[in-house]
Amino acid sequence: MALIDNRPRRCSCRRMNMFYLIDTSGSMNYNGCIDSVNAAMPEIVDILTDISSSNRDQGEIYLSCITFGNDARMLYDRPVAAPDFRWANVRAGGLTNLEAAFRMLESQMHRSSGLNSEDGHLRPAVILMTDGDPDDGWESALEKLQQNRWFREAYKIAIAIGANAGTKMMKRALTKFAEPLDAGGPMTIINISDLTRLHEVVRFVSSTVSRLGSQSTGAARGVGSVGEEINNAVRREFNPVDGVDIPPISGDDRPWW
Amino acid sequence: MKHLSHSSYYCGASHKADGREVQDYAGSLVIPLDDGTEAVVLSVSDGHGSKQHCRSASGSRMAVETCLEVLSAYRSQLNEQECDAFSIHGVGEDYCNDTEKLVREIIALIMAKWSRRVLEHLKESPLKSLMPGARAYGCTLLGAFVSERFWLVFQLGDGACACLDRNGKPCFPVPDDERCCCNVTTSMCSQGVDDFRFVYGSKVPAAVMLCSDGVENSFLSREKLGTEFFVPLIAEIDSKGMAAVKADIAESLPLISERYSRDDVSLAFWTTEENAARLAPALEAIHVTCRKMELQRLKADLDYCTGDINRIEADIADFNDEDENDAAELIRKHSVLATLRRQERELREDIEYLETAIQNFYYED
Repeated sequence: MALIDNRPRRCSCRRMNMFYLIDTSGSMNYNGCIDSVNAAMPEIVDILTDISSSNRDQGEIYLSCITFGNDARMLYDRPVAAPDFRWANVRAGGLTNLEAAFRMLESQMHRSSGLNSEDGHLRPAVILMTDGDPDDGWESALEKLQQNRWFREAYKIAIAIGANAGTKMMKRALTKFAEPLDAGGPMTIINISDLTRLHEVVRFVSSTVSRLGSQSTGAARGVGSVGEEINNAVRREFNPVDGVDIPPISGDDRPWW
Repeated sequence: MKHLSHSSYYCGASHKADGREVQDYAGSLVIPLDDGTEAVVLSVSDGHGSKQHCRSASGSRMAVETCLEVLSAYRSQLNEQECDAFSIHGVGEDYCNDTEKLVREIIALIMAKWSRRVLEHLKESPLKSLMPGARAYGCTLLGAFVSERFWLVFQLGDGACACLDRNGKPCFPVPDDERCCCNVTTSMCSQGVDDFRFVYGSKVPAAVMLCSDGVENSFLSREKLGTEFFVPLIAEIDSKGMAAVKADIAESLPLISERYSRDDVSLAFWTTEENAARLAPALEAIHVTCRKMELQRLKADLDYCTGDINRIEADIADFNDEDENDAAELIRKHSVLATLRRQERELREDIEYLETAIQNFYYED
C-alpha cells in the first residue's frame, strides 16, 4: 500500500465561511433597499459558486445568513455550500435589533454550531449591511462577539446604506463592528448614498472577500495582508464612484461618527 | 547508528495548472562529527508565491541552502551542548541559557546570510517594479539538526514539524505562532530572529519530519498528518526499505497535492535504521488503531448527518408550498438538505474506503 492510499478523506478541502448580517428593519423598505439585497444575493451565490469550484486550492465556500428586524433569525438552519445555496427573498419590517444579530452570530461561531466541521477552516468573513441606528444593547453584544476567536480572526466588512448626519449611532456601531482585531489590516466600511449602487457594492465585496480569503497562503507581509488587499480592492473599485464613500477612519482622522 | 534521511519537493497541482514554478524547496545532509559519529541536517522552505513575492522560488532555495550550510558549520558546537532532555522556546521569549543563545546566533546568521544572498541576487537582476526588494523573495523556514546526543528544530512561518517519540507516538513539539493562522504566515522577508520558535534537547526522538503547509493542509489536522502519513512512512522503511520509501514519496506527494491541498509539497525527514526496525510493530499498531477510531468517528458523523436529513425532510413534508412564506422556507430547507446530502455521500465514500483499507491491511498481514 502506497502512502497516498492511507488517506480516508476523499477531499480535505478547507472551508471558508461567509456570514451575511442583513438588516430587515422597516426602513429597508424605502428606496428599494431590501429589493436591492434580494436582487444581489442570487448573483452573489453564482459568483461564490464559481470561486468555490475554481479555487479548490484550499477554499470551499459556505454561506450563512442572519437577518435582523424585531429579532434575529438564521435564514438557513446550517451553513450551506455555495453550489447548494438558493436564495429566497426576505421581507423588511420592524426595528433594528442589531444586538440580537450579534448574539446569534456569536452563537454560530463555535465548533459546535456554525463552524462545526472537525478542522480545516479558513479565516471567515462577516458582511454587515444596515441602514439605520441600531436599537439599544448592541454594544454589550458586540463586546462579547469581539471575544470570540473566530470573530476576532474574521474579515469584517460594514456596509452603511444611506448613512447621513442623523445616523450617528449606526456609524458608531459599524465602526466598532469593523475593527479588524486579529485579522489585521485597515478597517473596511463602505457608505452607500446612491442606493442604486447597493447591488453592485454587495456583489463586489462578496466576490473580493471570498476570492482573496479562500486562496492559499497570502503572506503579503505577515499578518493582515489579506485584509489590506480586500480594503485596497474595495478602494480601487469604489473610491472615485459617486454615491459610494469609503470614510477615512484610522490614524489621526476624526471619528466617522 | 545508521542515519536515514531524505528530502524532496514537488510542484503543486494548482501551480502546474497556472504554469507557475515550484516555490517550495527542501534539503538534507548527513555530516560527520568530530567524535566519529554522524549528524543529519534538514531544511524545508515554502515560498509565498503571490505577485508581490515573485522571486519566492529563489528565496526558498536560498533559505534552505543557507540553513544547511550554517547548521553544518555549527555541527560541533551543537553536538557538544549540555542541556535538559527537552526544552521549548516560543516566539518572543527570552533566551535563557547558553544553548538558546547559540540557537539565536545560528538563526541570526542564517537570516543575515539569506539577506545578503537576496541583495546580491537583486544586484545581478534588479526588479522592474518599485516594490521593496527582499519582499519578492518571501518564504518560510524550517531547520533541524539531529545527532546521537542533541537535537534542534526551529521554525519561522507555517508548515509543520512532526516527531515520533521513543514509543512511536507522533507529536508536534514546536510551539505554534498564533500569527500563522488560516492563510497568513510570518516570513523571512519581514520578520526577525525573535520571530522564530524552536525545540531542542538531549533526549533525541525516534524520527523527525519537516514539511511545508502544502503537505500539512492536505490533512484535516496535525494528528492525522502524524497518523496517516508520518507513521506509515517510517513503518514502510522496515518493511520495504529506504529506496522503496523514496519511490513511494515521489509517487504519493504529487498525488496528495493533486487530490487535497493543490499547493506545492515538500518534506525532509530523518530516522535511523535501528529506530525504524524497533518501532515497526508499534507503528503498525498505531496506524490500525487510528484507522479504526477514524472509522468509528465517521460512522457517528454519518448517523448525525442522516438524522439531520431525516428531520429536515420531515419539516419539508409539513410545508404548504402554496403559502408564500412556506415557499421561501422550502427553498432554504432544500439548500440545507442539498449540502447535508453532499456531506452524507462523502462520509459513505470515506467509510467504505476505510473499511476496505482495514480489511486489506489484515489480508496483507
